[in-house]
Amino acid sequence: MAVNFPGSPGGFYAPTRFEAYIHDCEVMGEIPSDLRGTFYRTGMDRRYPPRFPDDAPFNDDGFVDMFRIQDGHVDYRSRHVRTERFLAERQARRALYGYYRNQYTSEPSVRNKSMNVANTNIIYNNGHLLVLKESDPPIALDPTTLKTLGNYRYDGQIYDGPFTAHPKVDPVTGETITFGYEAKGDGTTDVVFYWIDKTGKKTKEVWIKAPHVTMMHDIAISQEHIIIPTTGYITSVERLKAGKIHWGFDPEQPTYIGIMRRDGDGSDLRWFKGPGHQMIHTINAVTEGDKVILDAPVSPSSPFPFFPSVDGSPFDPKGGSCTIRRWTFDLKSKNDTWEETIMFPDHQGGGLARMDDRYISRPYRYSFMGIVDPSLPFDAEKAGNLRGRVTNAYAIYDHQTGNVKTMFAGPTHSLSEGVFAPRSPQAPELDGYLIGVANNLAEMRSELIISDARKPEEGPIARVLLPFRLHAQVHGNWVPDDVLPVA
Amino acid sequence: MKHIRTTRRAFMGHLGLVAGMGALAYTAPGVLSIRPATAAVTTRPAGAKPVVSVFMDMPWVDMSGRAEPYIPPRGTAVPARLTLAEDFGNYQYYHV
Repeated sequence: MAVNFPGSPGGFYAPTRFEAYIHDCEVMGEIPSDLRGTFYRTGMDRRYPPRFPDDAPFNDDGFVDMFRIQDGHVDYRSRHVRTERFLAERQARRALYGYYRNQYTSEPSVRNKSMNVANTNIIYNNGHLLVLKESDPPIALDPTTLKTLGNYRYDGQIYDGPFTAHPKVDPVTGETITFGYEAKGDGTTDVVFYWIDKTGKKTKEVWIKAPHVTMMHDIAISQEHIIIPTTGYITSVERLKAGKIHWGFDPEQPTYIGIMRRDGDGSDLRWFKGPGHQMIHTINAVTEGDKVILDAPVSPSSPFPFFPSVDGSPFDPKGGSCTIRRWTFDLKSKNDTWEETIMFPDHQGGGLARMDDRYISRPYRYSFMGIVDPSLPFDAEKAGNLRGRVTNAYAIYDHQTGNVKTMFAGPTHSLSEGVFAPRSPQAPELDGYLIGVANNLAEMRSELIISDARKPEEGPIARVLLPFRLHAQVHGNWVPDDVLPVA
Repeated sequence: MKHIRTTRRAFMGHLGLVAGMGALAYTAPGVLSIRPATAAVTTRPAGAKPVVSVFMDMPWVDMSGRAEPYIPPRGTAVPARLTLAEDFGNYQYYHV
């Protein structure tokens, strides 16, 4: 039987299902000569129709893109990640695996085999290009060909289990702090943390218990502490055996924030408890005396409509939209909650906020987030009925003054997560470029847009035009030439 | 409980008939209708018509039919294809 996607959303969101290489892409505008490096991005693209129509897009096959930039020229390459699952389904010519992270809904022939789709984040760490999915170990790729090399466990120093999509790297010491949740199997509260030094040697391993079984997608680090958010997404082995998608959203579930010292053994871990607001990603954290200050995009309710509420309540698009908030924790206080400040209440987005990664764990000033700005023009006739439902601008937030600047990509465009590329390793904060993929919904093609982070209101200074549309992105990262040579 | 004996061929044929009837009830142009046939774990209110929607650039299928459907711009939709009875065994969770 030939492949058919009767359940495809169509339009820009239909699966692309091809890999490509373009030497010397078409460029509109001028790429700055001091922008030299590689932009990697990863996301989802279905090879075969899912076994369940309401499966989460997070269960689609991992797909990686690479934009190599040097001397004003850009080369592009893309590949599916050859996971065990991808290869098995390609052999069978159909989907074998069931709901997102529910092995009980897979065909018997692949139950208890890796469900890894490797589609969430792609980082260059310890000299390896790693594609990450929080339910599974990292997978290493060749940084030039994107060929899949296999699971990577830091030379066998870490276990063969779940590994976060968001390890944190201290930009000064080079230390990587990473973790995995549901670390002893589905439905377990065990969380493991690893410390890996700049030479790739594991220096510490700490196991803790989460307050309940919950999605723990991201952490933050300050110079002294690790900050560990929980969410309202819950699961259990019973839920999975009942044939449901891994996560259900419990609106009654409080949010817990764990804080423990980076130089400790986990015994000082303290859980703060507050209203059930959803912090999927963090931006940054700093420790000032007895205070830990955490900045992050936060939504009042579930931001993922495909993880249904356990009480049957409908998805709330407004409640699922994020604003950037500051949560301040007083380590001296006996009150186990926090103070909240909504920093930029007029800007709502999907929660993919970033910063200049050279300032992770340290005092910083600027962050970036894709926002949905309904006041900007949108051509619904050409782009479909997506007004207010796609990211149409990047906001550059000044956390010191409260000022906001925005970069608008166009009236038929939606934006994937943007990243910051410094002009040089020594350039001051914000002196560099904001880079991200824009989808031209009217022309059914994608482009990489590059803008000056200090003058975003002037719009893109260069557009790298692709003659086709790209798959949905989750995260991307910039790897400068001094870290991974382009040539 | 009363048990009914049937063959797999007859059972699939029955499902195919149901699928074909469902296909006749196709919705407005550009709006995709998806109905799970055997996905017992999928909860859907009686009479609800699932829709493909988009939230923050993410497409998703709302089985309750309460979300605003995504209508691709004219000329860009993947052509809808009626699922034939003989296809149904292969696309057991879908029909359009």
